[in-house]
Amino acid sequence: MWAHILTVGLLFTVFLMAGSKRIGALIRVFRFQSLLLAFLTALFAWRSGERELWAITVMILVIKVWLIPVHLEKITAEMRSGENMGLVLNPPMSVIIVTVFGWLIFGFSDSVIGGMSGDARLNFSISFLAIFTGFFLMVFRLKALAQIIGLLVMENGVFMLVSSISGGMPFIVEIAVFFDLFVLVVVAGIFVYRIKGLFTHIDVSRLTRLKG
Amino acid sequence: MPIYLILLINACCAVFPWLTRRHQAMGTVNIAGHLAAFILALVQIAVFGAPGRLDDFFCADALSLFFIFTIATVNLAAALYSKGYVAGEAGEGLMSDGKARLYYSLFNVFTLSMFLVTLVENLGLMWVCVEMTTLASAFLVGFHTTKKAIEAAWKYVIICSVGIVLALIGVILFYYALNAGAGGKTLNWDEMLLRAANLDQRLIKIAFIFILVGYGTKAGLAPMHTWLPDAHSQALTPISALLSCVLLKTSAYAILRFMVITNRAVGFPYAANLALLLGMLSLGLSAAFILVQKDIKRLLAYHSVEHIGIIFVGIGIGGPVGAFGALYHVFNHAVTKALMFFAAGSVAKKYGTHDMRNIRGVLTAMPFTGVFLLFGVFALGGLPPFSIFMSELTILSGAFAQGRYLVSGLFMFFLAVIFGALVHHFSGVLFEKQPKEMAPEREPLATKAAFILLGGFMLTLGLGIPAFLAELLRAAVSVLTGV
Repeated sequence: MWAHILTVGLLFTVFLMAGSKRIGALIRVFRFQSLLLAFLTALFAWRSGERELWAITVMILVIKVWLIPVHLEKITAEMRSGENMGLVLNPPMSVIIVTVFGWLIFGFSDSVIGGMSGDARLNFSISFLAIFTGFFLMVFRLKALAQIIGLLVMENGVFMLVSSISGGMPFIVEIAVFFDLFVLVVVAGIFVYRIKGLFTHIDVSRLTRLKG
Repeated sequence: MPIYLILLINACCAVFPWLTRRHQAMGTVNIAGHLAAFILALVQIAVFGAPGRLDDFFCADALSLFFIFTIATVNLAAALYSKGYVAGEAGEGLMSDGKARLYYSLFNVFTLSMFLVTLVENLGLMWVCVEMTTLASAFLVGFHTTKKAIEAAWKYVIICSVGIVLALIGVILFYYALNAGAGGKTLNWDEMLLRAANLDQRLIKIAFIFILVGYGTKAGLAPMHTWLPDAHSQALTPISALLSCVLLKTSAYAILRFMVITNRAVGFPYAANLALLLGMLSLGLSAAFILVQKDIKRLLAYHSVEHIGIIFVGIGIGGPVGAFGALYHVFNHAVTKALMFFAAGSVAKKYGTHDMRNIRGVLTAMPFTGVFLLFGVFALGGLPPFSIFMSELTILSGAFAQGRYLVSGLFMFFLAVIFGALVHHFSGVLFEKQPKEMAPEREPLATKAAFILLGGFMLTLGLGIPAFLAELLRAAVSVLTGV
């Protein structure tokens, strides 16, 4: 039952993200989503008794619930761009689009992997919906910070996918992926500072000097 | 053992800049390190051959050894060119000793990550290493914090990271297919290959599309190539060469690894046809952009899209001849394009512009670089006796032998258009009158050595393949085709 509650919670966070108007809200939802993922991993760890899954739970808590959101909040505060994230599509429209895609993904999931149980199919669909929503945020939110969060949401979706369909990748790979993700956020964060310093804004739709 | 040493040498070269303040010393040690790595790769190939599986993490079969040799060659040339380049930048006050330190250190982290891609056996760790190459090179693209460089670096990081997330989905689906269908919990390439015949075909087909689009973004395949012209044109010249000549190839290498498993699981033509489609698209799209290009480094960047297209056409045609041509082209394009980027970088610096309409009379203004640029243009366009001609001919003969006349016709048409555009662009650049106030250029010794090394490969490989390389290529082809 707990697994179901957490999965529904994850689905809920996906819609919250599509409906977020401000970057601050998006970061909070990302933190909440990561926390749910940590609980879900802990649940798998408790059921299977695998020590490695406990280690991964701790890593999610440290990197995705604590370090990355704190880092992003710090950048947001310094950029003073928390109010607006350059919405191309307004929140209600975004939620409708994500809902339609959720329905389509659920419909197609059976043709990708045949013979899944109801639970597996639901997890699979929610994972892909999170990946899609991350991509959606990257395309339809114009501030550089929103793009970083979009990428993180995509990665959260991939993490859900791997733990729901194959019970996690080999431990060493998981650790390396976490490390990579953290470095990516740091590197992208540095570039956000540089964009702000040079262009005095962080609106990526206005980065149009290179063409052809 | 020697192959491990390559990683160690790169790691040492990444640390050394932090022990000295003088950029000349950093440059010299960098050259020495990459020369040692190059010799090691050569010795490994010529004397010991492919060692196969080394331990739980590393494996160096003929395919990886071939890519290691390509990377080591371009690295050596880039290290040679870097010395004069950094000295020039330092002389103009554009690069302090601190920045030179950062440059040399990142250069080696970047080259180390590329070697790792080709050496790790676990396909999940390979993914991590491919992402590492992006992160290590991002600062080298945006090194001079100008508006254009930062814009290019941002696009590079974001687009390639999205691509790489898609590739990760592909890796996971492969892992799941193996887990569910063949009862294996592994991402080790050879174990996956052993069990490939039992995998769910439908799932593998979808997973391969994710791999092709994901790694294809990083490899510069059209239509996911949009980051490439920006990053290649804004990066520092030696880094442009590394990006174009070897970074794209490491992603192509990752695709090839998955392609072998896919071929084993679902049969031959599926993955090959997808590769052929994207290869042809890259070739056609780059031809259009090359025709209208004005910026000399962007022109070369679109040529990278073209040549990665040619490589995928070769892979897509399939069979030993196509695969041989494609791998041969990987090396030939690497040496030729590195030479072109170095020449273009020197020319752009001398004339103070990237706009080819304002660059005139390079042969008189810079005789040494000019001559190599002239040969490079012919080589890149695919004229004999240069090596690119040989690999393109091999691919084409593979296509004809299989009766792929439409593919062959389109291939030749695009190459002809691109050759015409190349001659059109460079005839003015090379032959017209130079500006009056221009003083003759004296290239540093290390820069000349880089040109001679690359030019030597370009010419000798056009005349014939040395026995050790031919043998390595054949062994790599047999890894690819399983024959």
